[in-house]
Amino acid sequence: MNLLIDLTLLLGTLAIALTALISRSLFRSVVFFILLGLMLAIGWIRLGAPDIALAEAAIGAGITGVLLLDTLGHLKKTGNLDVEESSPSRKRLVLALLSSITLVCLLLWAIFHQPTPAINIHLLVAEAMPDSGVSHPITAVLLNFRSYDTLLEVGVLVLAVLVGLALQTDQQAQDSLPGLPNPLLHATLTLLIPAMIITSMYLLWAGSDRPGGAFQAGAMLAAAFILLHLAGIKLSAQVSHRMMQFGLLLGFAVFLIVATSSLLGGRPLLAYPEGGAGALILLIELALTLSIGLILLSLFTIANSPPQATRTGGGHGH
Amino acid sequence: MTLLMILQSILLISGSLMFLVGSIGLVRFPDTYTRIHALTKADNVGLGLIVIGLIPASFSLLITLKLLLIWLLVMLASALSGHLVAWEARAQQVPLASLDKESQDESTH
Repeated sequence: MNLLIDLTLLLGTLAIALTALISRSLFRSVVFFILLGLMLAIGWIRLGAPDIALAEAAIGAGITGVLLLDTLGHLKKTGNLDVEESSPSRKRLVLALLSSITLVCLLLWAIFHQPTPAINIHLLVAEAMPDSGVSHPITAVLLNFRSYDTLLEVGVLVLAVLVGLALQTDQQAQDSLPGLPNPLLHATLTLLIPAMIITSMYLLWAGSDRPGGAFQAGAMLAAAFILLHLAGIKLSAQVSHRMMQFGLLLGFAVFLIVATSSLLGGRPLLAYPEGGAGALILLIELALTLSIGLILLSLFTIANSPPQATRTGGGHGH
Repeated sequence: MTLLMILQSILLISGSLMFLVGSIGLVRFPDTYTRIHALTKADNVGLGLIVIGLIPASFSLLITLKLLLIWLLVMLASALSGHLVAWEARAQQVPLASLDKESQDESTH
């Protein structure tokens, strides 16, 4: 029975991925891409990796889906949606097919010829768990044992939003989305937004001993922010520009301060002091959650404002 | 025990059937408004039946409350999204499907 579920999931995921790629209509491609994210999330759950499933559902399907749909809306507004793309030539198709088949063969070969690992990493992790300050192995790896990687990842996110902000000029701080003046939406938001914020904090808190953590909580927070933004309640108008910038950098800054402050005590970079690891991880995650939420929101709102001053004149006719 | 399992199976299967009916409605119904009707109604009942069917599987108060909360949130979200799609379709003057000339005239007013 479980095999049947897995096979259905596998074939369904393949079919959805193919449909997303092949479909001629961009809208259909986007919808199938979002569906693909959900199928992958279910796949991760079947593989026993709920952490990745949560991240995939929240970021892969949710936030990316919103970004893609929003881009589609912009293309439609500016009339660039109907640009006929030339169908790929036979040579290119053969080349693409050949390279993908080669990749699949290589991956299959890699799966079937896995070398026995020289060190058993999961045993090492299990051994070191008591010192990590948290009781969930994934969080321990992400924020203690391999926190250097996570620090750089957050750095990449901050860099992305900085580049986005740099491309945005001052006069276009007002974005073009008017917001939906729907009374039922606003009434429901008063119920939904507190629930989303509580869920986000729950995910953050749960991260110390269960699947969850800063990235999932941040994505949830970003979803709440984007929902508010789409409903016409602009966070950037309520909070001053400087506060917003502060929030964007807060997570990375706190992480970096904690990382380097350990150098003062003569310990190596990112080595937490004895006994203080749990509290420091929670502090970092709290700051990261807020920052990731704001960064994802900013990536969304930056994409919403017209990129060039010259585009504002003629672009928005119907 | 077996009676409970039979009841559970009935609930789960009828819940899945509800989803099937909703999906068939989505594919078969002629216009946006009727499709929303099929999808939101059938799926909410379907999810409700599945949630009720899942509760006795490993009964604990916490899981029960979580399942009911999920159902409540999904109902809220689907009611809202259904309303928004219909609202936007109305704003963009998406036409109603018509079976005959009379209802066509009615829809234009």
